[in-house]
Amino acid sequence: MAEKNESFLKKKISRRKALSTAAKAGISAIVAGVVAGIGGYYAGMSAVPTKEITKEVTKEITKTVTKTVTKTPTVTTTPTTPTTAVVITPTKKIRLGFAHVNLNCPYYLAMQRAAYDVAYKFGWDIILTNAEADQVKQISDVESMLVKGIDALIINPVTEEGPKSVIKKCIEKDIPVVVVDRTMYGDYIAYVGIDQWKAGRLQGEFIAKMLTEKYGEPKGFVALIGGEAGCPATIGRGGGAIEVWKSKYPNIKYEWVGYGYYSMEKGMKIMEDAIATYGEKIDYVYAMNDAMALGALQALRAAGLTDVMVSGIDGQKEAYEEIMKGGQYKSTVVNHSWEITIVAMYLLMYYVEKGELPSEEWLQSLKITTGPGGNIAKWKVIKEVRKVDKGPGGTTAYDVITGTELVTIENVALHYDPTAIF
Amino acid sequence: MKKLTSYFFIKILYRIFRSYPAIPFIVILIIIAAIYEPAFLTPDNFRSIASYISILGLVTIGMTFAVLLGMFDLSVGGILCLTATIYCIWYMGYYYLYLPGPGTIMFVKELNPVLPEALILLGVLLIAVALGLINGFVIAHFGVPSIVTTLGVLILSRGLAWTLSGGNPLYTIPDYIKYFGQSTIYGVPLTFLFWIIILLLTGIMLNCTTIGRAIYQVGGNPEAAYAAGVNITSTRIIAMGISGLMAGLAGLLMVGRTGVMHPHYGMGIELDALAAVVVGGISLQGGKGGVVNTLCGVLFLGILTNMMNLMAIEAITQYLVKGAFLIALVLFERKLEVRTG
Repeated sequence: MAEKNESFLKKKISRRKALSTAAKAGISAIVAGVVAGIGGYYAGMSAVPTKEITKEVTKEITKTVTKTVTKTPTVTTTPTTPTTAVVITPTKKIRLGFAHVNLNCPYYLAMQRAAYDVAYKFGWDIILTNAEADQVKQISDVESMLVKGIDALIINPVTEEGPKSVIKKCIEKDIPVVVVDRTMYGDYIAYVGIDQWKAGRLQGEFIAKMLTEKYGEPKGFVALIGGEAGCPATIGRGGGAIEVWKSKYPNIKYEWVGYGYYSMEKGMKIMEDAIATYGEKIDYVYAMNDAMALGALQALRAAGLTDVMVSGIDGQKEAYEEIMKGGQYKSTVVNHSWEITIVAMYLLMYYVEKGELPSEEWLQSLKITTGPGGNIAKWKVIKEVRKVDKGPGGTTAYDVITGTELVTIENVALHYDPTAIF
Repeated sequence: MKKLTSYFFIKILYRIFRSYPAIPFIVILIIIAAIYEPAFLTPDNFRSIASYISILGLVTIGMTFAVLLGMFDLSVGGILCLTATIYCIWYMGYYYLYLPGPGTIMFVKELNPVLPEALILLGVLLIAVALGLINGFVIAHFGVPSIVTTLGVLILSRGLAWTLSGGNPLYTIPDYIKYFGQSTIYGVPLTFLFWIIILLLTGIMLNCTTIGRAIYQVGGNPEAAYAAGVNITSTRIIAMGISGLMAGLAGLLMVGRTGVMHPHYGMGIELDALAAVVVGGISLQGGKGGVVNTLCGVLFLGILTNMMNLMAIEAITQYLVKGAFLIALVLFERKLEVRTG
């Protein structure tokens, strides 16, 4: 009887122990959840553009951007000032959605930064999402923005046709869509970005010129470093140059030496391999963006190949610095991501206020400040405004071509701004 | 007075928590989201979440099978991408043999003859299964660690997909697959219904069939399973085959949802799926967990992503919140396991 009692008691005790641990675990879960919830709530609050908080957010972004790009500490942000013929002041407080493609490099971070700056200046709410280069995520990002309720959308599409289904939903809700940086199939009021093929042609001509200076005639071997296979930027920038060489300078030989995913380290690695393969044969290195070109430059220096010339595209600040030194780095093409974003936001602001697209003159007269320093850009930002019938239902839309300007040692001083964000 | 812990509902709650530790977190997420942004509770939003999670969900079901056997399947992203690519080029009727560089002429090969659509669907799914089976065969037969094998297959299949598509996005997509990926029935996305059906089927398979029970046995204790007469090799091969099939289906759904095939598809999805599995409460040692855990894990990730966008959390802060939540959840699970296990 006693044994039975004992075992019964033991069982009871162990059961109680188990239950009390369960209760503790449950309580701790609730506490953890509440803490996480409050954390999430406050993190959410930080994106609401009340004055101080937004300043802090932009400050943070400045920090990240400058850390990765410039390494010079810049603290305050000066919102951009347009000096235009017809000054439009934002009166409506709208909520803008920005469906960004990725936030993995300075180029994209500068876009984010510019978007926050301008939205703060306009007094707009902004939701910026990061698709992480995943089309499915971008669609769901835009869907959740539609649920939240946005009045306008800026999209940097992952693929040309991918967002079609969700863009149709935006059109149904009368939300104006502006496409930036990467092209889309249509259904937008404006596309803002550079002309990739033209950028490639400019570099192709310049490289032929430099090779002529070296050999007396246009000949030589160019190593091409691609960004991503099938990416429109790589196809345009590479294809434009190749088109020029094939039609005019048949003695210029070229080879794709690899794809560097637009990153500096990968560009350097590819160049090291290319040096091992081709060695002294290389006369010129043409990378599809400045980051890869800068990486290739390091590899060339390490290998002692100081007479190989280098060119990139994008107009990154470090590239300008290299060009100013007058060394191996010869040229780049302007493709300022922040410039694109700012133009897109001003265009959208005009559209929101007036309900129509701005005139070409208005766009042309738009002056844009560079980075936190606030210098007004001395160059012509908008090169061309093309009217295309890609608007919703085949209506007129704008293709606004910015940048696309060759920068060499002759005109680099004009574009270089030590305080610029990219 | 009665002790708190002896109340019936606490016991039930405890049981649920222990089996499905993500549930309290999901409830907390929903409460936060609903308080902060009432639009969270609209049908539109649920539709958005549902169609987002169904693709990740399919991959996660496959990953569940692998993890139940104590293995990882990193190849899902590659298989997904390759299936989608082959499907599109088969439908188009030609493929790019190799792309020497953008801007130059591509060698386009015609596929002769073009097969009927149903056969194409079957064919690509068979390819997906075959890749999974190869995974399983190498792992089970040669004893190579699953993480290495599947990593190899991931790189191989992604490389193949890039070669065949020439790295280009492919836009020629049949309408029926777009319809399947984008339309709703009574307001519920078809992809979500499809996922739930697959979830039910795999649940039944895991719990009520010989092979399902064998998976739990082999995952929990291979020696005991061997002694009980379970064929360990074939169990592992079949599980990896199922994982491949799920990845293939996810690839088709992804093509349907976006209406375009991009060689980037499925980049990094294996880690998301693995996160969903762990968050759902499936033990990485194997033999513990089920499809309900999968459902919980995927729901958690889906709701978290959606909620952060709705709350307009700044894109970089989102990573912090997500990471903090994942760690909190896994710690919670660990606590339950250690204290009572």
